[in-house]
Amino acid sequence: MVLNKKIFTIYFSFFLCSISFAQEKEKVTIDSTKSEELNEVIVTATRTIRQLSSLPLPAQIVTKKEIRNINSLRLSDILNEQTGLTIVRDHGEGVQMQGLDSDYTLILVDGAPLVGRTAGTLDLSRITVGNIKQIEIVKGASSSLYGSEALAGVINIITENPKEGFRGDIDLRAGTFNTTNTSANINYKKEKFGISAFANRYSNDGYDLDRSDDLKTVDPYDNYTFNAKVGYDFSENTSLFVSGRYYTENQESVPTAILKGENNTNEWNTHVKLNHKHNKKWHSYVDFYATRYQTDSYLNNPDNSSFSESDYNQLLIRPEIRLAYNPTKKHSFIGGIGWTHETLDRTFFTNKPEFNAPYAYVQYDTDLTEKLNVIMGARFDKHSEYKSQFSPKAALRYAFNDKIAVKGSVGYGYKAPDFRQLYLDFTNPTAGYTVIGYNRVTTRLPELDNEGQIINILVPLSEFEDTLKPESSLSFNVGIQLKPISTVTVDVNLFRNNIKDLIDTQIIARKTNGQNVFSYKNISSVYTQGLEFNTAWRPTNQLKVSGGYQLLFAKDKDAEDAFENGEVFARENPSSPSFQLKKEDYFGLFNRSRHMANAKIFYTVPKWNLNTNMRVTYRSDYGLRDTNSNTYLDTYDTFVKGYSIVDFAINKTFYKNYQIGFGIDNLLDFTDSQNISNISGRLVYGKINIQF
Amino acid sequence: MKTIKFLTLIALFVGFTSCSSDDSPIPGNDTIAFEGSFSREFDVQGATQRATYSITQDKINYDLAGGFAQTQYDTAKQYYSSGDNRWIGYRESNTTYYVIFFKNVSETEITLYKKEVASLEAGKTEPVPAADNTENYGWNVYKKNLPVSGKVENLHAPQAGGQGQPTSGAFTKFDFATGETTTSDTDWDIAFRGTAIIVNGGATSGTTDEPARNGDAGAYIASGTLEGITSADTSLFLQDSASGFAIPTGSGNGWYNYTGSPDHLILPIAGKVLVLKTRDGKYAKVEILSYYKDTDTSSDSKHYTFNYVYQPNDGVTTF
Repeated sequence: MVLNKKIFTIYFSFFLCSISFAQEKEKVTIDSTKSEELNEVIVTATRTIRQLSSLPLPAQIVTKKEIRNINSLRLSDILNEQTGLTIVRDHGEGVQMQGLDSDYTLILVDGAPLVGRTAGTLDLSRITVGNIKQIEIVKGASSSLYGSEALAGVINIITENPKEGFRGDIDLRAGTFNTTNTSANINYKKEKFGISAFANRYSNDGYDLDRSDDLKTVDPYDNYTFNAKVGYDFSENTSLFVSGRYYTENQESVPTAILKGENNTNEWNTHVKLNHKHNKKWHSYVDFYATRYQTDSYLNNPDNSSFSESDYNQLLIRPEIRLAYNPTKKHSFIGGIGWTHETLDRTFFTNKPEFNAPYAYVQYDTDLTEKLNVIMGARFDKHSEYKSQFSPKAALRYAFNDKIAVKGSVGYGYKAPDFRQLYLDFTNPTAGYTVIGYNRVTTRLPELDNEGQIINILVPLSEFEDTLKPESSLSFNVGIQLKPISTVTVDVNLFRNNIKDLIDTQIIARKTNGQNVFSYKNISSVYTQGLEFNTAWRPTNQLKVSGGYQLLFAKDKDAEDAFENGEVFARENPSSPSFQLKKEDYFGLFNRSRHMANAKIFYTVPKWNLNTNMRVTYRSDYGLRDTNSNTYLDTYDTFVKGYSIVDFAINKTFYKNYQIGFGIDNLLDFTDSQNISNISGRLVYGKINIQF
Repeated sequence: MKTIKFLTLIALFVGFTSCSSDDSPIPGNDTIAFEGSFSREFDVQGATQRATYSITQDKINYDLAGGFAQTQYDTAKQYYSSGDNRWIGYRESNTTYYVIFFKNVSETEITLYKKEVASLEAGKTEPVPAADNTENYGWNVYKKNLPVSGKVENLHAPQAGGQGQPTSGAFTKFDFATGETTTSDTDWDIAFRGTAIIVNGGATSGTTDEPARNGDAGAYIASGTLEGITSADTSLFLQDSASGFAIPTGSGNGWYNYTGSPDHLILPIAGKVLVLKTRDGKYAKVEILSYYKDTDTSSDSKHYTFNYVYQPNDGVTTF
């Protein structure tokens, strides 16, 4: 027995040792994907720190690790690889989410909106990913928290906060088309005071997909981003953050063989956040945010006389106060009030419009039982120029056990009419047509009439006395989360967005020069619906294999009716006689692929300090424009062929702080010079990263 | 004298028999139940020929038109029996008799066989030809009120100005009756200049070099295929006026869409048919196929290619 006892003690202490060793090991591999998954938190979905895996809303996160491993440069690159998202070029690189145009996705940086949608699209290639901590993507209408624009969803870019100690890193990447990207981060924090600074320069020579002419597909450009954050903790309970960002870009502009010019963009943002924890239950936040987005462009004739000039200058100021109340662990309330002030100074605007919009919102997040989580929220936006909006949302998640959970949400989303739709006053100098913003029609059209430019007015002026309605949607998401075994996750989400009052142009008068006067109107109703599927398999800490798929149907309801009523016709080729189309011939909205998919493998070899990955993204056929002159996209139109992009990257770390990388984006060198101008062809690059 | 007496007797006898047949119809003077215009089109050495019988109670007008041979004449009715559908007529211009046999008569078509005969009597005794008889062009089907179909290629409609500047230049006029362009001041139905299409009806809109309207033409735009639009709705016709043309101009308003950047093409909208009333009240329909020379969008613009169907019969709205 004694012996046994001894043996037992020895054995036991050995066992304990091994456990502590094991724990030690666990700590070493701190970026274990398994623990990471549990620790993933998201703030965008609820405006509180929330565990991603238990959220009742469809959401995903792109981590800093993934961004670094794939050596991504711009936000547009990395979003294009995410399930259900695709980058669409239309006056900039915008993101299409749940089949909705990029105009309907709100883009935030640290919770504050970016502005500068000169023609609806917010150009995501202007955002560097060098200082990003994570990208949070919430799908489905989210106006209950964020107001206008959060119709398809919200993408929030979370930047790094100052961390304890003095550290920094320098990152260089250079490759095809003379693409160079240089980033530097410096960070210092000691006790109460922290500061971080980030600088990025990005440039490339542009590229030319169509060598038959002298013009480049994308002209050379370079841009700089500067970002600084200062944090100060007045006490354990009170802290202040001040951040500033400045972005500037210069691009040559050679649109035709004879015209030459430049496009310049300047943008700044400032964000001041004051947080105070009153006690365990009450927490308050004061935010002040201001941003200006400004562009100026010109084109000169060969003799250096001016051909055209245009400028755009948008300012947004937004103070907000937020209050969080957590009476118990199971209940959490958050509410806020704020005020948005916006102005725009722009060529083709006769006046300088101003928007003022106070708002208030509230949200209640509760675990009704251990298995059932419910979120309810609503927001009210009062607006000086259009109808006030009330945006409710409700979501719930029920976990049957650790392996299976279901979730569903319903929300209202809206997008306010933009400045252009309300105030534009533009006459095309070459073609002679005129576009007048909705609010300007009642004064401007009679003026044109008095000048003798109008033959007849087709839409009575009285129709412009009401205010233009915001575009709005009701969005539904139902999903199931499965974890059949510990190494596999499966997520399926069904979505449907019913969007109404879409604003489109209509002809309101005919001009004596044979051209038309256009204005804007709430016209069409569309819907998008589909299925999103995501799965990941993590057999070991070294290997992660993931796949994603989206099935999408995006259709205009009036178009569906027109096909059903036999009112739509097509031609086999542009000059053959027309024939009638059937209901099933309607494909849907332009620039939507029925199928999108991605597959990714990430592999780490710890003993070599090496990580490598291979990613494939696929997009099925889509129609860019009507090619058989019936204005609709039907199955007889010419489609852009579906395609796959394969990317590869490998990185190795030396002496802990030095990393070199190599990669090939678009390995198969896919291009389509006719239809896709933003895919440049194969990009080979090298990268060096030094940390200190 | 004896001969005269004999002839008088015969005359009296004939008169008597005529009078006595008042109760039952005189053989050879039946009423024709299928009046109207019946046409058939056929090819001769690559040219389309069109033969038309315009049937009325007292005569049949024959009209042969087309690129290979043309003729037109009246035959006055001498005899018609509804029993064997035998009709005999006399062509005065060259003192010829024709016998025409009809069969398969319906609301929309007839089948007929025509043969030149020496006399009225010879016509009466001519046996009804067998169905497979191919002499004298055989039996042929003629459609009632068959409209004229045609295709116009590369109708050039130049214009000066445009692109925001006032437009000018002569309109290119078109006459449906001849199927040709014309420079006549009066004998035209529609006219083209750039993307603008005017009709010879209503009033001038005021644009430079616009021809005066002296007819009663009108137009409207129907949605459908050229085949699918089978009649004109007379309540819908518009005429040109000072406030605009019957066929509206501008992208998406009338017959075309302007594609804008980068191609800048004028493409005829699929499923738009111009329904027209001609200057003299006949009806036609037009489907524009192309605005470019030889229907090649990379070639010169302002060259119309269109299919048309023209109903030459007065007051007939179907085509």
